[in-house]
Amino acid sequence: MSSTSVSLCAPLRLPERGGSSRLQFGSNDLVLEQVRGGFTLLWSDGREARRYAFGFGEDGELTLELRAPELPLWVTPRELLAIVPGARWSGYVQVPLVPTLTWRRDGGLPQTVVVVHARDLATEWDEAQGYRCLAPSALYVRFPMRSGEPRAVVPLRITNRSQEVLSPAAIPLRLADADLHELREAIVCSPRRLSWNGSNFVVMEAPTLATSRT
Amino acid sequence: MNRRALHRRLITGTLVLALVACDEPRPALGDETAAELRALRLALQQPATRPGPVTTERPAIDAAMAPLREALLGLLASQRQLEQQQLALAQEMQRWSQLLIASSNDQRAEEGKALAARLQALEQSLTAQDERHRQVESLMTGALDRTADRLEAFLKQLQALPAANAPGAAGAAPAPAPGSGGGPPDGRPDPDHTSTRSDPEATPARVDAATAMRRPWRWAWGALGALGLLAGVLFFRRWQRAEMPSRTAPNQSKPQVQASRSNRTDGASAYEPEPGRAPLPADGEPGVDEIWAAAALLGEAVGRLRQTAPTPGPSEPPEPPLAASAEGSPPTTAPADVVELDALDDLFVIEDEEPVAPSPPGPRSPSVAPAPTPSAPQFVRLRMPAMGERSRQAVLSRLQSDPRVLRQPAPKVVAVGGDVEITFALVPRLSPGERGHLEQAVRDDC
Repeated sequence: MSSTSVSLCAPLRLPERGGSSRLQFGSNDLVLEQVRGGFTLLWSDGREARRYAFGFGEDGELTLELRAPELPLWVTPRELLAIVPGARWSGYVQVPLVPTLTWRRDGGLPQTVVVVHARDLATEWDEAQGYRCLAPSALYVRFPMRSGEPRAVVPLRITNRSQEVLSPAAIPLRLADADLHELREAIVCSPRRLSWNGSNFVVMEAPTLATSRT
Repeated sequence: MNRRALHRRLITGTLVLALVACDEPRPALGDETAAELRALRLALQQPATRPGPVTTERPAIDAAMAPLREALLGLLASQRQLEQQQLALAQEMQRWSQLLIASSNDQRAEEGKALAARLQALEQSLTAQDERHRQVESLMTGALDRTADRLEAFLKQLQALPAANAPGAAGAAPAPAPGSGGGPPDGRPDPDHTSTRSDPEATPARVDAATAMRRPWRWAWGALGALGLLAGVLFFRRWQRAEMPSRTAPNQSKPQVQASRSNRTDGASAYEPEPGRAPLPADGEPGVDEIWAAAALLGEAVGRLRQTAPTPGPSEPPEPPLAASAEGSPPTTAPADVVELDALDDLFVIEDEEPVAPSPPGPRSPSVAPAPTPSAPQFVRLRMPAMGERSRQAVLSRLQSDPRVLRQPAPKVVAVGGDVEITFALVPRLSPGERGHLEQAVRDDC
């Protein structure tokens, strides 16, 4: 995984004793070292560095996975979006993914070791709607340039079927790991089609990407 | 003499004029610039007319410049983003400066003073209400404690009575076999023990003892039923009161209602009428709150009483399944989702004016207050010694920027007595290690 390309699943090699292995994607830099009593991981996201201590065996492999946020996601556009009645807007938004370190023994199920919560993914809770994640994103009219950051590009189409101008404060999205694909050295989500009926967004059936999850 | 000098001057002048006339005409400055531009254009057009070497080198140049182009595009994108951020910052600074200028105005200052005085009066009234509430709470707690003690003593006496009459202790007849008249014909235990009356060996003293054993339980269940009835009536009254203002203020939109509800849980403005709402009766809402608090305390006392009640022996009637599950397993409404480090979390008990789904009191829920759903956030409360303003800002900044902390409900740092109480909510499914790491980071900031 280079600094500008990003993949959904990247193995992190367990180093020999006294050695280290390194993984870099975007502004994130991971250095795994084996010390006398176990392993240490230094994770820097460009602004803050955190240190973890692990105990790993020899019959498994460590993997860094980029997962979709589990909670309902609301994308808050950085630009003002206004759609007149009967019109639509098509473009792209970028949503942050959740880097997760998983450990998988031989033939076993993956077990989550560490979940690094994305900095630009704020979580809220209220009694009416429960949990929800808020993620700011710019509205792109072209496919965003790859940056290596753990973000997914979501092709989006919003149709205004009401009689009033639609200017949403946030766009609801629900992502799953199965919707994420590697494309153009970036992570692309299956297209989303939303329709505004005057009171709420309705999710419409969208075409699926032809590529398979690698 | 004068003529010679005049001739000399004329000759000299003529020669000068001849020399000046023979010089080349100097072009104007604009013409010179235009000529240079023309020459430059010709020089630029000349390489373009040579198609041979350029066409062969262009793909190589493009290939070599591709990374640079991407880097430049990235720089441009980041520059645009920085420009947007700078613009937003400038706008915010402008708003702040306008606000500062506006606040320095005399009229605004007077309004600010009036608002400060109003706020002070409101705080005093809140303090008085809080004190009154505590007095009522202490009264109710004392009365309930005394009642609970008496009931415990009574139940202990009842426990001693069946122990004296137990079959093993008294050396009485062995337990009857199934189907022999001591139980139902299918061998299952009779929940009401009605079959003891048909036991031919049952003496009147044993029947009286069994009847006396059942009476306190009936009384306890009757008390629970009365509590449920009381709570139902209270909830109905509260529901009616909540419905009346919404009818009197039809212009209020739903989001405002929800916002006011969420704000009311903050505690400080719990009893303040909202601007768009009709004011509640002065003696209505606080009294209902006190009754709710008393009902909650009563429910807790009954629950504690049930927990300290003696376990049923082999000869006692089995508990109903609901009660057995409530005692054997921890309640699902549990406050296991609420991490309490210091004291009981009364956020959902007293300060919540309108419970979302208040469950009626019964054997399952010892508390009348609405229990948090399993999806409710985990709250962490840390009580720390008093800290300076800088430490307080550092703690708040950390909690507001940490993605493991919920933005809503927002983290709070409140002075309680001489200490400081830090309250924040965690994202779901956070590992204990992450939680401990976060708490330690907050302690380090203090």
